[in-house]
Amino acid sequence: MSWRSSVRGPAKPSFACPFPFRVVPSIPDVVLRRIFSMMSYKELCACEAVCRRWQTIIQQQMKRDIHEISLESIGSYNVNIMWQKGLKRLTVSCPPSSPDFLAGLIRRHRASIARLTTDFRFLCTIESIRVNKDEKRKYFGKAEELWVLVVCPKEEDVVRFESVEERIFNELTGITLQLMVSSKFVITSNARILQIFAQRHPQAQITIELHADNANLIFAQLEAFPACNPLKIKIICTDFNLPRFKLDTLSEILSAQRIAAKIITFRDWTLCCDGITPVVPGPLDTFRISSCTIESVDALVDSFKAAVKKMAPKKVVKKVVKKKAEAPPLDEEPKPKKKVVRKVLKKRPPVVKRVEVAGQCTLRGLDFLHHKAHTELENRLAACVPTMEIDTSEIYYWD
Amino acid sequence: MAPNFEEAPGSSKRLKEEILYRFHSKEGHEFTMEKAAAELSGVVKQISQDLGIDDDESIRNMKPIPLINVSSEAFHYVVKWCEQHKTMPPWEQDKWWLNERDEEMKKWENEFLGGLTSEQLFDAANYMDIKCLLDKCAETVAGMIKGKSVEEIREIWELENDFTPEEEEAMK
Repeated sequence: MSWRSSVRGPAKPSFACPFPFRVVPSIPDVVLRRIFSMMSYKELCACEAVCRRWQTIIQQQMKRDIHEISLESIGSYNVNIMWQKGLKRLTVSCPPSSPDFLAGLIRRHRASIARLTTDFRFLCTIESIRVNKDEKRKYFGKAEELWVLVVCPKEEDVVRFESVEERIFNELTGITLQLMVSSKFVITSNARILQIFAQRHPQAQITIELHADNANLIFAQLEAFPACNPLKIKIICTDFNLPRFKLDTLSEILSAQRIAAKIITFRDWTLCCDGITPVVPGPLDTFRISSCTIESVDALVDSFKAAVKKMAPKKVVKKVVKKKAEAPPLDEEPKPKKKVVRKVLKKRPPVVKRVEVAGQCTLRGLDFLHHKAHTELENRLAACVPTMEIDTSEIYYWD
Repeated sequence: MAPNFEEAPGSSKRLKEEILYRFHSKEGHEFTMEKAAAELSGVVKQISQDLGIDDDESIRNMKPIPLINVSSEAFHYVVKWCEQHKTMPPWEQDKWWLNERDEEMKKWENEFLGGLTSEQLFDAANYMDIKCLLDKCAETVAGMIKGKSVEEIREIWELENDFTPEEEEAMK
Protein backbone atom coordinates (compact mmCIF):
# COMPACT_ATOMS: atom_id res chain seq x y z
CA MET A 1 0.00 0.00 0.00
CA SER A 2 1.40 3.34 -0.93
CA TRP A 3 1.32 6.16 1.62
CA ARG A 4 -0.79 8.03 -0.88
CA SER A 5 -3.73 5.74 -0.41
CA SER A 6 -4.34 7.28 2.98
CA VAL A 7 -5.83 10.22 1.06
CA ARG A 8 -8.61 7.97 -0.01
CA GLY A 9 -11.92 8.07 1.73
CA PRO A 10 -14.12 5.03 2.13
CA ALA A 11 -14.16 3.22 -1.18
CA LYS A 12 -17.29 3.84 -3.18
CA PRO A 13 -18.43 1.48 -5.90
CA SER A 14 -19.55 4.22 -8.26
CA PHE A 15 -18.77 7.88 -8.56
CA ALA A 16 -21.33 10.55 -8.24
CA CYS A 17 -19.99 13.32 -10.37
CA PRO A 18 -21.58 16.63 -9.42
CA PHE A 19 -21.06 17.90 -12.95
CA PRO A 20 -23.13 16.28 -15.62
CA PHE A 21 -20.23 16.49 -18.01
CA ARG A 22 -16.67 15.41 -18.38
CA VAL A 23 -14.86 18.64 -18.23
CA VAL A 24 -11.42 17.85 -16.98
CA PRO A 25 -9.63 16.37 -20.00
CA SER A 26 -10.35 19.37 -22.19
CA ILE A 27 -9.37 22.07 -19.71
CA PRO A 28 -6.52 24.26 -20.93
CA ASP A 29 -3.28 24.34 -18.95
CA VAL A 30 -3.96 27.77 -17.50
CA VAL A 31 -7.15 26.58 -15.89
CA LEU A 32 -5.59 23.34 -14.71
CA ARG A 33 -2.90 25.38 -13.00
CA ARG A 34 -5.60 27.39 -11.32
CA ILE A 35 -7.28 24.20 -10.17
CA PHE A 36 -4.07 22.71 -8.86
CA SER A 37 -3.16 25.88 -7.04
CA MET A 38 -6.20 25.29 -4.84
CA MET A 39 -5.14 21.85 -3.77
CA SER A 40 -2.97 20.65 -0.93
CA TYR A 41 0.38 18.97 -1.34
CA LYS A 42 -1.01 15.56 -0.60
CA GLU A 43 -3.76 15.93 -3.16
CA LEU A 44 -1.29 17.10 -5.74
CA CYS A 45 0.82 14.03 -5.11
CA ALA A 46 -2.17 11.95 -6.13
CA CYS A 47 -2.90 14.11 -9.16
CA GLU A 48 0.70 13.98 -10.22
CA ALA A 49 0.42 10.27 -10.79
CA VAL A 50 -2.61 10.56 -13.05
CA CYS A 51 -0.99 11.34 -16.38
CA ARG A 52 2.04 13.00 -17.90
CA ARG A 53 0.37 16.27 -18.67
CA TRP A 54 -0.78 16.69 -15.09
CA GLN A 55 2.58 15.64 -13.80
CA THR A 56 4.36 18.25 -15.88
CA ILE A 57 2.07 21.03 -14.75
CA ILE A 58 2.23 20.03 -11.09
CA GLN A 59 5.98 19.69 -11.11
CA GLN A 60 6.37 23.13 -12.63
CA GLN A 61 4.16 24.49 -9.92
CA MET A 62 6.06 22.75 -7.14
CA LYS A 63 9.35 23.89 -8.57
CA ARG A 64 8.13 27.45 -8.48
CA ASP A 65 6.54 27.31 -5.05
CA ILE A 66 8.87 25.08 -3.05
CA HIS A 67 12.41 26.29 -2.54
CA GLU A 68 12.82 25.09 0.96
CA ILE A 69 12.03 21.90 2.80
CA SER A 70 11.97 21.33 6.51
CA LEU A 71 11.96 17.67 7.20
CA GLU A 72 11.60 16.37 10.68
CA SER A 73 11.20 12.80 11.74
CA ILE A 74 11.63 13.02 15.46
CA GLY A 75 8.51 12.18 17.37
CA SER A 76 6.11 11.93 14.44
CA TYR A 77 3.90 8.96 13.87
CA ASN A 78 2.34 9.84 10.57
CA VAL A 79 3.06 11.96 7.57
CA ASN A 80 2.12 15.60 8.07
CA ILE A 81 2.70 18.15 5.38
CA MET A 82 2.32 21.89 5.49
CA TRP A 83 2.94 23.94 2.41
CA GLN A 84 3.59 27.62 3.00
CA LYS A 85 3.39 28.91 -0.53
CA GLY A 86 4.25 32.47 0.35
CA LEU A 87 7.45 31.38 2.01
CA LYS A 88 8.00 28.77 -0.71
CA ARG A 89 8.50 26.28 2.05
CA LEU A 90 7.32 22.76 2.61
CA THR A 91 7.29 21.60 6.19
CA VAL A 92 7.12 17.87 6.56
CA SER A 93 7.07 15.68 9.58
CA CYS A 94 7.12 11.99 8.94
CA PRO A 95 8.28 8.90 10.78
CA PRO A 96 11.72 7.67 9.71
CA SER A 97 10.05 4.51 8.48
CA SER A 98 8.32 6.05 5.50
CA PRO A 99 10.74 5.34 2.65
CA ASP A 100 8.04 5.56 -0.03
CA PHE A 101 7.05 9.02 0.95
CA LEU A 102 10.62 10.19 1.35
CA ALA A 103 11.53 8.73 -2.03
CA GLY A 104 8.73 10.72 -3.62
CA LEU A 105 9.78 13.83 -1.78
CA ILE A 106 13.35 13.53 -3.02
CA ARG A 107 12.20 12.72 -6.56
CA ARG A 108 9.94 15.74 -6.73
CA HIS A 109 12.23 18.34 -5.18
CA ARG A 110 15.74 17.04 -5.69
CA ALA A 111 16.64 19.55 -8.32
CA SER A 112 14.84 22.61 -7.09
CA ILE A 113 15.30 23.19 -3.40
CA ALA A 114 17.80 25.75 -2.17
CA ARG A 115 17.33 25.33 1.55
CA LEU A 116 17.02 22.17 3.51
CA THR A 117 16.34 21.79 7.20
CA THR A 118 16.51 18.27 8.48
CA ASP A 119 17.83 15.98 11.12
CA PHE A 120 21.08 14.15 10.87
CA ARG A 121 19.49 10.75 10.76
CA PHE A 122 17.76 11.55 7.46
CA LEU A 123 21.09 12.48 5.88
CA CYS A 124 22.95 9.42 7.03
CA THR A 125 20.18 7.03 6.02
CA ILE A 126 19.46 8.71 2.71
CA GLU A 127 21.00 5.82 0.82
CA SER A 128 18.41 3.43 2.09
CA ILE A 129 15.75 5.44 0.28
CA ARG A 130 15.29 4.12 -3.21
CA VAL A 131 15.46 7.10 -5.53
CA ASN A 132 15.35 6.82 -9.26
CA LYS A 133 18.20 9.08 -10.21
CA ASP A 134 21.42 9.10 -12.10
CA GLU A 135 24.17 7.71 -9.85
CA LYS A 136 26.36 10.72 -10.53
CA ARG A 137 23.72 13.23 -9.63
CA LYS A 138 23.63 14.62 -6.15
CA TYR A 139 20.60 14.10 -3.98
CA PHE A 140 20.16 17.83 -3.45
CA GLY A 141 22.45 19.40 -5.99
CA LYS A 142 20.94 22.86 -5.84
CA ALA A 143 20.89 23.14 -2.07
CA GLU A 144 22.80 26.15 -0.79
CA GLU A 145 21.75 26.35 2.79
CA LEU A 146 21.52 23.50 5.19
CA TRP A 147 20.36 23.32 8.76
CA VAL A 148 21.02 20.02 10.47
CA LEU A 149 19.67 19.00 13.79
CA VAL A 150 21.96 16.49 15.41
CA VAL A 151 20.50 14.47 18.25
CA CYS A 152 22.47 11.59 19.76
CA PRO A 153 24.44 10.61 16.68
CA LYS A 154 25.86 7.11 16.86
CA GLU A 155 29.35 6.44 15.68
CA GLU A 156 28.17 4.22 12.86
CA ASP A 157 25.80 6.96 11.72
CA VAL A 158 28.71 9.31 11.36
CA VAL A 159 30.65 6.74 9.38
CA ARG A 160 27.69 6.20 7.07
CA PHE A 161 27.26 9.90 6.66
CA GLU A 162 30.89 10.38 5.82
CA SER A 163 30.63 7.88 3.01
CA VAL A 164 27.50 9.41 1.52
CA GLU A 165 27.97 13.14 2.14
CA GLU A 166 29.62 14.00 -1.15
CA ARG A 167 26.72 12.50 -3.02
CA ILE A 168 24.12 14.60 -1.22
CA PHE A 169 25.22 18.18 -1.82
CA ASN A 170 27.30 20.26 -4.15
CA GLU A 171 28.86 23.32 -2.62
CA LEU A 172 26.88 24.65 0.32
CA THR A 173 27.13 28.31 1.23
CA GLY A 174 25.55 28.24 4.63
CA ILE A 175 25.48 25.45 7.18
CA THR A 176 23.95 25.48 10.61
CA LEU A 177 24.72 22.60 12.90
CA GLN A 178 22.36 22.36 15.79
CA LEU A 179 24.15 20.06 18.16
CA MET A 180 22.27 18.75 21.16
CA VAL A 181 25.03 18.04 23.62
CA SER A 182 22.97 15.86 25.87
CA SER A 183 25.77 13.77 27.31
CA LYS A 184 29.49 13.34 26.98
CA PHE A 185 28.98 10.34 24.75
CA VAL A 186 27.92 12.42 21.77
CA ILE A 187 30.88 14.77 21.88
CA THR A 188 33.22 12.84 19.62
CA SER A 189 30.56 12.23 17.00
CA ASN A 190 29.50 15.87 17.03
CA ALA A 191 33.06 17.01 16.56
CA ARG A 192 33.50 14.60 13.68
CA ILE A 193 30.36 15.89 12.00
CA LEU A 194 31.61 19.45 12.24
CA GLN A 195 34.91 18.38 10.79
CA ILE A 196 33.27 16.62 7.84
CA PHE A 197 31.21 19.67 6.97
CA ALA A 198 34.07 22.11 7.43
CA GLN A 199 36.34 20.06 5.20
CA ARG A 200 33.82 19.40 2.47
CA HIS A 201 32.52 22.96 2.31
CA PRO A 202 35.45 25.23 3.08
CA GLN A 203 33.65 28.25 1.63
CA ALA A 204 30.49 27.80 3.65
CA GLN A 205 29.62 30.03 6.53
CA ILE A 206 29.07 27.73 9.45
CA THR A 207 26.89 28.43 12.43
CA ILE A 208 27.28 26.13 15.40
CA GLU A 209 24.43 25.96 17.84
CA LEU A 210 25.30 24.17 21.03
CA HIS A 211 22.46 23.14 23.28
CA ALA A 212 23.21 21.70 26.68
CA ASP A 213 21.91 21.82 30.21
CA ASN A 214 25.23 22.72 31.81
CA ALA A 215 28.38 24.59 30.96
CA ASN A 216 30.74 21.65 31.39
CA LEU A 217 29.20 19.81 28.47
CA ILE A 218 29.62 22.88 26.30
CA PHE A 219 33.24 23.20 27.30
CA ALA A 220 33.90 19.51 26.72
CA GLN A 221 32.29 19.78 23.30
CA LEU A 222 34.33 22.82 22.34
CA GLU A 223 37.50 21.12 23.49
CA ALA A 224 36.78 18.29 21.09
CA PHE A 225 36.25 20.59 18.11
CA PRO A 226 38.89 21.04 15.45
CA ALA A 227 40.36 24.48 14.86
CA CYS A 228 37.84 26.37 12.75
CA ASN A 229 36.44 29.78 11.88
CA PRO A 230 32.69 29.56 12.14
CA LEU A 231 30.56 32.58 11.46
CA LYS A 232 28.59 32.15 14.62
CA ILE A 233 28.60 30.14 17.80
CA LYS A 234 25.36 30.09 19.72
CA ILE A 235 25.52 28.68 23.19
CA ILE A 236 22.09 27.84 24.43
CA CYS A 237 21.06 26.43 27.75
CA THR A 238 18.30 23.85 27.85
CA ASP A 239 17.91 23.99 31.59
CA PHE A 240 15.35 26.32 33.10
CA ASN A 241 17.18 27.70 36.11
CA LEU A 242 20.01 29.50 34.35
CA PRO A 243 23.10 27.52 35.42
CA ARG A 244 26.44 29.34 35.69
CA PHE A 245 28.57 29.71 32.62
CA LYS A 246 32.14 30.91 33.05
CA LEU A 247 33.17 33.25 30.29
CA ASP A 248 36.83 33.06 31.25
CA THR A 249 36.87 29.29 30.74
CA LEU A 250 35.18 29.74 27.36
CA SER A 251 37.70 32.34 26.34
CA GLU A 252 40.60 30.10 27.31
CA ILE A 253 39.18 27.10 25.47
CA LEU A 254 38.46 29.05 22.29
CA SER A 255 41.95 30.41 22.39
CA ALA A 256 43.57 27.01 23.00
CA GLN A 257 41.47 25.28 20.33
CA ARG A 258 41.97 28.10 17.85
CA ILE A 259 38.26 28.50 17.29
CA ALA A 260 37.53 31.99 16.05
CA ALA A 261 33.92 32.91 15.53
CA LYS A 262 32.67 36.27 14.29
CA ILE A 263 29.57 36.20 16.44
CA ILE A 264 29.06 34.60 19.82
CA THR A 265 25.63 34.41 21.37
CA PHE A 266 24.56 33.23 24.80
CA ARG A 267 21.08 32.37 25.84
CA ASP A 268 19.56 31.43 29.19
CA TRP A 269 22.74 31.26 31.27
CA THR A 270 24.08 32.97 34.34
CA LEU A 271 27.20 34.49 32.87
CA CYS A 272 30.15 35.01 35.14
CA CYS A 273 33.74 36.00 34.67
CA ASP A 274 36.84 36.46 36.79
CA GLY A 275 37.55 40.02 35.67
CA ILE A 276 41.12 39.12 34.69
CA THR A 277 40.84 36.86 31.67
CA PRO A 278 39.94 38.73 28.47
CA VAL A 279 36.26 38.23 27.76
CA VAL A 280 37.05 36.99 24.27
CA PRO A 281 40.29 35.56 22.96
CA GLY A 282 40.33 37.53 19.72
CA PRO A 283 38.48 40.19 17.77
CA LEU A 284 34.79 39.61 17.42
CA ASP A 285 31.99 41.22 15.44
CA THR A 286 29.13 40.67 17.82
CA PHE A 287 28.88 39.51 21.40
CA ARG A 288 25.25 38.89 22.16
CA ILE A 289 23.75 38.21 25.53
CA SER A 290 20.19 37.07 25.32
CA SER A 291 17.98 36.38 28.33
CA CYS A 292 20.89 35.84 30.69
CA THR A 293 21.74 36.83 34.19
CA ILE A 294 25.03 38.65 34.47
CA GLU A 295 26.47 37.56 37.78
CA SER A 296 28.59 40.62 38.24
CA VAL A 297 28.52 43.62 35.98
CA ASP A 298 31.79 44.86 37.47
CA ALA A 299 33.58 41.64 36.58
CA LEU A 300 32.16 41.69 33.07
CA VAL A 301 33.36 45.24 32.51
CA ASP A 302 36.78 44.28 33.90
CA SER A 303 36.97 41.34 31.52
CA PHE A 304 36.22 43.65 28.62
CA LYS A 305 38.97 45.94 29.84
CA ALA A 306 41.33 42.98 29.97
CA ALA A 307 40.48 42.11 26.40
CA VAL A 308 41.15 45.66 25.27
CA LYS A 309 44.45 45.68 27.10
CA LYS A 310 45.50 42.43 25.55
CA MET A 311 44.76 43.54 22.05
CA ALA A 312 45.72 47.19 22.29
CA PRO A 313 48.78 48.23 20.31
CA LYS A 314 51.86 48.08 22.50
CA LYS A 315 53.27 51.34 21.29
CA VAL A 316 52.70 54.05 18.80
CA VAL A 317 54.60 53.16 15.70
CA LYS A 318 56.46 56.03 14.22
CA LYS A 319 56.70 55.66 10.55
CA VAL A 320 59.08 57.76 8.59
CA VAL A 321 58.24 58.07 4.98
CA LYS A 322 60.90 59.54 2.84
CA LYS A 323 59.64 60.79 -0.41
CA LYS A 324 61.94 59.81 -3.17
CA ALA A 325 63.33 62.93 -4.60
CA GLU A 326 62.77 62.80 -8.27
CA ALA A 327 65.39 64.39 -10.35
CA PRO A 328 63.76 67.67 -11.23
CA PRO A 329 64.02 68.87 -14.79
CA LEU A 330 66.78 71.37 -14.99
CA ASP A 331 64.71 74.28 -16.17
CA GLU A 332 62.46 74.13 -13.13
CA GLU A 333 63.12 75.36 -9.70
CA PRO A 334 64.22 72.53 -7.54
CA LYS A 335 61.63 71.62 -5.03
CA PRO A 336 62.54 71.53 -1.41
CA LYS A 337 63.14 68.05 -0.20
CA LYS A 338 60.21 66.79 1.71
CA LYS A 339 60.55 64.72 4.77
CA VAL A 340 57.25 63.44 5.85
CA VAL A 341 56.89 62.20 9.34
CA ARG A 342 53.61 60.58 9.99
CA LYS A 343 52.47 59.34 13.27
CA VAL A 344 50.77 56.16 12.41
CA LEU A 345 48.62 54.82 15.09
CA LYS A 346 48.40 51.32 13.91
CA LYS A 347 44.70 50.88 13.68
CA ARG A 348 43.34 47.72 15.09
CA PRO A 349 39.80 46.55 14.87
CA PRO A 350 38.04 47.03 18.18
CA VAL A 351 38.06 43.95 20.37
CA VAL A 352 34.36 43.58 19.98
CA LYS A 353 32.56 45.63 17.38
CA ARG A 354 29.17 45.27 18.88
CA VAL A 355 27.64 44.11 22.13
CA GLU A 356 23.98 43.28 22.25
CA VAL A 357 22.08 42.67 25.44
CA ALA A 358 18.58 41.53 24.75
CA GLY A 359 15.62 39.77 26.23
CA GLN A 360 14.93 39.36 29.86
CA CYS A 361 18.27 39.96 31.52
CA THR A 362 19.23 40.50 35.13
CA LEU A 363 22.25 42.71 35.66
CA ARG A 364 23.54 41.91 39.14
CA GLY A 365 25.27 44.83 40.72
CA LEU A 366 23.06 47.30 38.94
CA ASP A 367 19.79 46.05 40.40
CA PHE A 368 19.34 49.25 42.37
CA LEU A 369 18.83 51.11 39.12
CA HIS A 370 15.78 49.01 38.34
CA HIS A 371 14.70 49.57 34.77
CA LYS A 372 17.61 51.82 33.96
CA ALA A 373 20.27 49.23 34.69
CA HIS A 374 21.00 48.68 31.03
CA THR A 375 21.86 52.34 30.41
CA GLU A 376 24.43 52.15 33.18
CA LEU A 377 25.86 48.98 31.64
CA GLU A 378 26.05 50.80 28.32
CA ASN A 379 27.89 53.70 29.91
CA ARG A 380 30.37 51.51 31.71
CA LEU A 381 31.19 49.43 28.65
CA ALA A 382 31.44 52.53 26.50
CA ALA A 383 33.86 54.03 28.97
CA CYS A 384 36.30 51.15 28.71
CA VAL A 385 35.90 50.38 25.00
CA PRO A 386 34.91 53.65 23.29
CA THR A 387 34.75 52.28 19.75
CA MET A 388 32.37 49.53 20.65
CA GLU A 389 28.75 49.70 19.57
CA ILE A 390 26.39 48.76 22.36
CA ASP A 391 22.78 47.90 21.85
CA THR A 392 20.56 47.22 24.82
CA SER A 393 17.34 48.36 23.18
CA GLU A 394 15.83 44.90 23.19
CA ILE A 395 16.21 44.32 26.90
CA TYR A 396 13.22 43.93 29.15
CA TYR A 397 12.57 43.36 32.80
CA TRP A 398 10.44 41.04 34.81
CA ASP A 399 8.51 43.50 36.91
CA MET B 1 -33.30 21.30 -22.69
CA ALA B 2 -31.74 24.22 -24.47
CA PRO B 3 -32.52 27.54 -22.85
CA ASN B 4 -34.70 29.97 -24.65
CA PHE B 5 -32.31 32.64 -25.70
CA GLU B 6 -34.98 35.09 -26.75
CA GLU B 7 -36.30 35.59 -23.22
CA ALA B 8 -33.08 35.15 -21.33
CA PRO B 9 -31.46 38.12 -19.60
CA GLY B 10 -28.91 38.26 -22.37
CA SER B 11 -31.50 38.75 -25.09
CA SER B 12 -30.87 41.40 -27.69
CA LYS B 13 -34.33 42.84 -27.11
CA ARG B 14 -33.63 44.82 -24.02
CA LEU B 15 -34.51 48.22 -22.78
CA LYS B 16 -32.65 50.83 -24.68
CA GLU B 17 -31.96 52.97 -21.58
CA GLU B 18 -29.45 50.50 -20.27
CA ILE B 19 -25.88 50.77 -21.42
CA LEU B 20 -25.34 47.51 -23.18
CA TYR B 21 -22.48 45.78 -24.83
CA ARG B 22 -23.48 43.62 -27.76
CA PHE B 23 -21.91 40.30 -28.60
CA HIS B 24 -22.06 37.68 -31.29
CA SER B 25 -21.73 34.09 -30.22
CA LYS B 26 -20.10 31.34 -32.23
CA GLU B 27 -23.45 30.48 -33.81
CA GLY B 28 -24.09 34.10 -34.70
CA HIS B 29 -26.73 34.86 -32.09
CA GLU B 30 -26.70 38.38 -30.84
CA PHE B 31 -26.51 38.92 -27.08
CA THR B 32 -26.32 41.92 -24.86
CA MET B 33 -24.79 42.45 -21.49
CA GLU B 34 -25.06 45.37 -19.14
CA LYS B 35 -21.93 47.51 -18.94
CA ALA B 36 -20.90 46.66 -15.37
CA ALA B 37 -21.50 42.97 -15.98
CA ALA B 38 -19.67 42.85 -19.29
CA GLU B 39 -16.66 44.57 -17.80
CA LEU B 40 -16.09 41.62 -15.48
CA SER B 41 -14.57 40.09 -18.57
CA GLY B 42 -10.94 40.98 -19.08
CA VAL B 43 -11.38 40.56 -22.82
CA VAL B 44 -14.25 43.04 -23.07
CA LYS B 45 -12.24 45.57 -21.08
CA GLN B 46 -9.24 45.05 -23.28
CA ILE B 47 -11.22 45.38 -26.49
CA SER B 48 -12.93 48.60 -25.49
CA GLN B 49 -9.61 49.99 -24.33
CA ASP B 50 -7.97 49.09 -27.61
CA LEU B 51 -10.79 50.73 -29.54
CA GLY B 52 -10.59 53.82 -27.36
CA ILE B 53 -14.15 53.43 -26.15
CA ASP B 54 -14.71 55.03 -22.83
CA ASP B 55 -18.05 56.80 -22.78
CA ASP B 56 -21.47 55.24 -22.68
CA GLU B 57 -22.53 56.62 -26.04
CA SER B 58 -19.73 54.88 -27.90
CA ILE B 59 -20.54 51.65 -26.12
CA ARG B 60 -24.08 51.93 -27.45
CA ASN B 61 -22.83 52.57 -30.95
CA MET B 62 -20.22 49.85 -30.81
CA LYS B 63 -20.53 46.95 -33.18
CA PRO B 64 -21.24 43.60 -31.56
CA ILE B 65 -18.09 41.93 -30.25
CA PRO B 66 -17.64 38.61 -32.02
CA LEU B 67 -16.83 35.78 -29.60
CA ILE B 68 -15.93 33.04 -32.02
CA ASN B 69 -15.06 30.51 -29.34
CA VAL B 70 -18.15 30.95 -27.18
CA SER B 71 -21.30 29.01 -27.93
CA SER B 72 -24.71 30.55 -27.40
CA GLU B 73 -25.41 28.07 -24.67
CA ALA B 74 -22.27 28.91 -22.76
CA PHE B 75 -22.81 32.60 -23.27
CA HIS B 76 -26.26 32.33 -21.82
CA TYR B 77 -24.67 31.17 -18.57
CA VAL B 78 -21.90 33.73 -18.75
CA VAL B 79 -24.51 36.50 -18.90
CA LYS B 80 -26.38 35.02 -15.98
CA TRP B 81 -23.22 34.88 -13.92
CA CYS B 82 -21.99 38.31 -14.82
CA GLU B 83 -25.31 40.04 -14.22
CA GLN B 84 -25.40 38.44 -10.79
CA HIS B 85 -21.87 39.58 -9.98
CA LYS B 86 -21.82 43.00 -11.56
CA THR B 87 -22.01 44.83 -8.24
CA MET B 88 -19.29 42.80 -6.57
CA PRO B 89 -15.89 44.38 -5.94
CA PRO B 90 -13.23 43.37 -8.45
CA TRP B 91 -11.96 39.84 -8.05
CA GLU B 92 -8.51 39.55 -6.52
CA GLN B 93 -6.93 36.43 -7.84
CA ASP B 94 -3.98 36.50 -5.51
CA LYS B 95 -5.66 38.02 -2.51
CA TRP B 96 -8.40 35.54 -1.93
CA TRP B 97 -9.23 36.97 1.49
CA LEU B 98 -10.60 40.07 -0.20
CA ASN B 99 -13.10 38.05 -2.17
CA GLU B 100 -15.83 37.89 0.41
CA ARG B 101 -19.12 36.46 -0.69
CA ASP B 102 -22.16 36.51 1.50
CA GLU B 103 -24.15 33.36 2.19
CA GLU B 104 -26.81 34.21 -0.36
CA MET B 105 -24.30 34.68 -3.13
CA LYS B 106 -22.51 31.47 -2.21
CA LYS B 107 -25.78 29.61 -2.37
CA TRP B 108 -26.57 31.17 -5.71
CA GLU B 109 -23.14 30.30 -7.06
CA ASN B 110 -23.41 26.70 -5.97
CA GLU B 111 -26.87 26.31 -7.46
CA PHE B 112 -25.66 27.96 -10.61
CA LEU B 113 -22.79 25.52 -11.01
CA GLY B 114 -25.00 22.60 -10.03
CA GLY B 115 -27.46 23.51 -12.77
CA LEU B 116 -24.89 23.62 -15.53
CA THR B 117 -25.53 21.51 -18.56
CA SER B 118 -22.36 22.13 -20.47
CA GLU B 119 -18.65 22.16 -19.82
CA GLN B 120 -18.31 24.92 -22.42
CA LEU B 121 -18.75 27.46 -19.66
CA PHE B 122 -15.20 26.72 -18.57
CA ASP B 123 -13.80 27.50 -21.95
CA ALA B 124 -15.94 30.59 -22.19
CA ALA B 125 -14.80 31.86 -18.81
CA ASN B 126 -11.23 31.23 -19.80
CA TYR B 127 -11.61 32.76 -23.24
CA MET B 128 -13.40 35.85 -21.97
CA ASP B 129 -11.07 36.08 -18.99
CA ILE B 130 -13.73 36.28 -16.31
CA LYS B 131 -11.65 35.74 -13.23
CA CYS B 132 -14.32 35.21 -10.62
CA LEU B 133 -16.15 32.65 -12.72
CA LEU B 134 -12.97 30.87 -13.68
CA ASP B 135 -11.85 30.64 -10.09
CA LYS B 136 -15.20 29.35 -8.96
CA CYS B 137 -15.13 26.68 -11.66
CA ALA B 138 -11.58 25.76 -10.74
CA GLU B 139 -12.54 25.56 -7.10
CA THR B 140 -15.41 23.25 -7.94
CA VAL B 141 -13.25 20.95 -10.00
CA ALA B 142 -10.55 20.98 -7.32
CA GLY B 143 -13.22 19.94 -4.85
CA MET B 144 -14.18 17.09 -7.11
CA ILE B 145 -10.60 15.86 -7.41
CA LYS B 146 -9.82 16.11 -3.72
CA GLY B 147 -9.85 12.94 -1.72
CA LYS B 148 -9.88 10.66 -4.73
CA SER B 149 -7.27 8.09 -5.53
CA VAL B 150 -5.28 8.15 -8.74
CA GLU B 151 -7.38 5.37 -10.25
CA GLU B 152 -10.62 7.09 -9.36
CA ILE B 153 -9.50 10.34 -10.95
CA ARG B 154 -8.56 8.55 -14.13
CA GLU B 155 -11.86 6.72 -14.22
CA ILE B 156 -14.09 9.71 -13.58
CA TRP B 157 -12.55 11.94 -16.17
CA GLU B 158 -11.49 9.23 -18.56
CA LEU B 159 -7.89 10.28 -18.44
CA GLU B 160 -5.46 7.93 -20.00
CA ASN B 161 -2.61 6.57 -17.95
CA ASP B 162 0.33 7.32 -20.20
CA PHE B 163 3.08 6.30 -17.81
CA THR B 164 5.16 3.22 -18.40
CA PRO B 165 4.85 0.60 -15.67
CA GLU B 166 8.42 1.34 -14.54
CA GLU B 167 7.69 5.01 -14.20
CA GLU B 168 4.60 4.22 -12.27
CA GLU B 169 6.52 1.92 -9.99
CA ALA B 170 9.09 4.63 -9.37
CA MET B 171 6.39 7.06 -8.39
CA LYS B 172 4.82 5.04 -5.62
